[in-house]
Amino acid sequence: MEQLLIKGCIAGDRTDQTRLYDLFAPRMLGVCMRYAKSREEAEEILLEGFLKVFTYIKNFKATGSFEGWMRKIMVNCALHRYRSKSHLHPVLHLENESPLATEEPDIFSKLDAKELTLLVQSLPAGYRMVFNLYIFEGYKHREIAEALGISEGTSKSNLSDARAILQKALAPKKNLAHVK
Amino acid sequence: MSKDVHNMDEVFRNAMEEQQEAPSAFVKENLFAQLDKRDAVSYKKRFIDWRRAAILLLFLLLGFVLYESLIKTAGTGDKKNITNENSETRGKAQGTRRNDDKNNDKDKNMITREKASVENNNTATKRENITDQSGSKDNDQFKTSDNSSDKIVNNDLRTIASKNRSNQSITSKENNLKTTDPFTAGKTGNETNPLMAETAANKKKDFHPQATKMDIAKITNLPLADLKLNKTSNLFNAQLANSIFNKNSKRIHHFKPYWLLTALATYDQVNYKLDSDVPNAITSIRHQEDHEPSFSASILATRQFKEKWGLQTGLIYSNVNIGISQQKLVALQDPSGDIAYKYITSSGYTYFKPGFGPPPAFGDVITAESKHRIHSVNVPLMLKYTIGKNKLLFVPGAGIEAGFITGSKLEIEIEDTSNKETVFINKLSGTKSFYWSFVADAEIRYGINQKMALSLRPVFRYAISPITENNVVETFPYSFGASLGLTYKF
Repeated sequence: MEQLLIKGCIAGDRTDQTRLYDLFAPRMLGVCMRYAKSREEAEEILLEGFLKVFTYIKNFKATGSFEGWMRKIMVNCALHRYRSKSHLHPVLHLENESPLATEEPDIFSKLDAKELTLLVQSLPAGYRMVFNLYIFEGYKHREIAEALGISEGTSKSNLSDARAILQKALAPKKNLAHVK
Repeated sequence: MSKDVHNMDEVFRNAMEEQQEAPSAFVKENLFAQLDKRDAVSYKKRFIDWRRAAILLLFLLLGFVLYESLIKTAGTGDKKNITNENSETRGKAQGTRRNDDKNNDKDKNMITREKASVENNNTATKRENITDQSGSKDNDQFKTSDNSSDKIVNNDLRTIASKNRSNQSITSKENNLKTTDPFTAGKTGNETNPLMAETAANKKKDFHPQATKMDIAKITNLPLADLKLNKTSNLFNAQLANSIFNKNSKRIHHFKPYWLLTALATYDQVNYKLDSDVPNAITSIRHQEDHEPSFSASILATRQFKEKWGLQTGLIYSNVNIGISQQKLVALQDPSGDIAYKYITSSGYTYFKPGFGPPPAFGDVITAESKHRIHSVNVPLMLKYTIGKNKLLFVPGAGIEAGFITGSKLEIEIEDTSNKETVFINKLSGTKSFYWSFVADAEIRYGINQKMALSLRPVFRYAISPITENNVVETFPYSFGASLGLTYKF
């Protein structure tokens, strides 16, 4: 099914392109949402990503998963967007990190994906990028540093800061969870 | 703490990994609108090449048609002149024959037949038809010339005679219808030209010898005084006829245009002239690139429109190989905003990302070595001149060549400390799809038999327009080639 769709897309068949879009767009928007500050920005990344998918689909080698290939394109689009606007993003330096030792994992499990996405979106762009690349894409700090054009130390520091911000943001929810 | 951190990461990962959100309809509409727009642009671009090819072929066709028509006009021009002058002569001659009413009945019979001849005479190229229609009477005269083998000259003379006769017949008929004095007419006719009496005696009254004499003089380029017409013979004595026909057989030589088809395989040594405003760009590219032996194959058609001159065109498929030595590439921002390694060659540039490792960041450096191939289809238009008459011919030529670059491929081998990969680029940016070249050759043709010849063709090409645009350098390739092939005449 997927292979037929890919062949159709390579041939420029609009029907197959529409089907492919309908099949993968929701999942890809989920990816874009994590890297964007808002839903609007995520949709812009999605649009740009799908344009690249349809342009370079002929270069896709069926050695790996097609979804993984698309996901990589979406992430690259998001990174490109971040790099081109990197001078506009403020960088926060948290002086007082909240300890995570006392956190209870169960609290997080009670939060749904949308809430967590909103939390991630609320992160400063640099932190959000590092957090996403580290947590979801499995990048190492060296690779993150190369991708974002920062040092490894900055990458580690940004990840730590991102976690701290998320923890702070989750504190009221934790209390609510305890009340419940 | 570490455990909790990992726990938090895990929770985020689990909760958000499979997250899905339906995009708004606007995204889909916008996406397909952009795809339609892009397809329209590429569709347009695709037909630009076809349009260029069509225009070029149109020019070639136009060139052939012009040459063909010019040759025909030039070839028939002389004959038309003769015809016109002949008409003038006839006018004079008619004055002497106005009263020749003895053959009125005969003229009446002839008039319908010969009116057709008059009409046909408007076109000199239809001389032979006229000759056929003019009857056998005049042919009898020429049979006495002992030179019936020279059909070309005979035809010319017959045509003139037939035209002469037909015009006179019509004129005489018209005159007879008006009114004439037979005595005056007979006297005038006989006194004006003694040959008139002879032709009358021979019952060839519709043929005017004075006109014929002048016409023959024009055809043969002999002085009128040299044309000694003998009364005792039907028209000419044998000696005169021989001299006329011998001269004419040398002068009137009909060349029939023909085609030559040549198939060639060529070894090319390619190089280029580089222009650039960027300091060190030329030196850097020259240092890195090394032209390797290249080959081309061609099918050429030559229209030999004159004995010595021919026009040549055809198709040449050319493959140029360039080896590019190892160099450091720097990651830059490409026009779409992505960060990728930029590879610059003499015929264009490309941005690429290695398949291994993370995407490159601005300023990253990688080592690469590559092979570069340029494929093109060329259409030459050359004027060729043939020297020599026997088996060995020397055929130099010069002209222009339209080059269509069909592919500029790059095979890049990249490696870092732990990975090695080959990246294939099928089309470079900054490479023009069309360019012009000057071309000159010096073909040596050795005839194997009547139809086939062996061709050895040293050829030189020089691009007069660059093959690059928006590249660091402007590249004008040139090449020396040696071709070997076969030529077939048909």
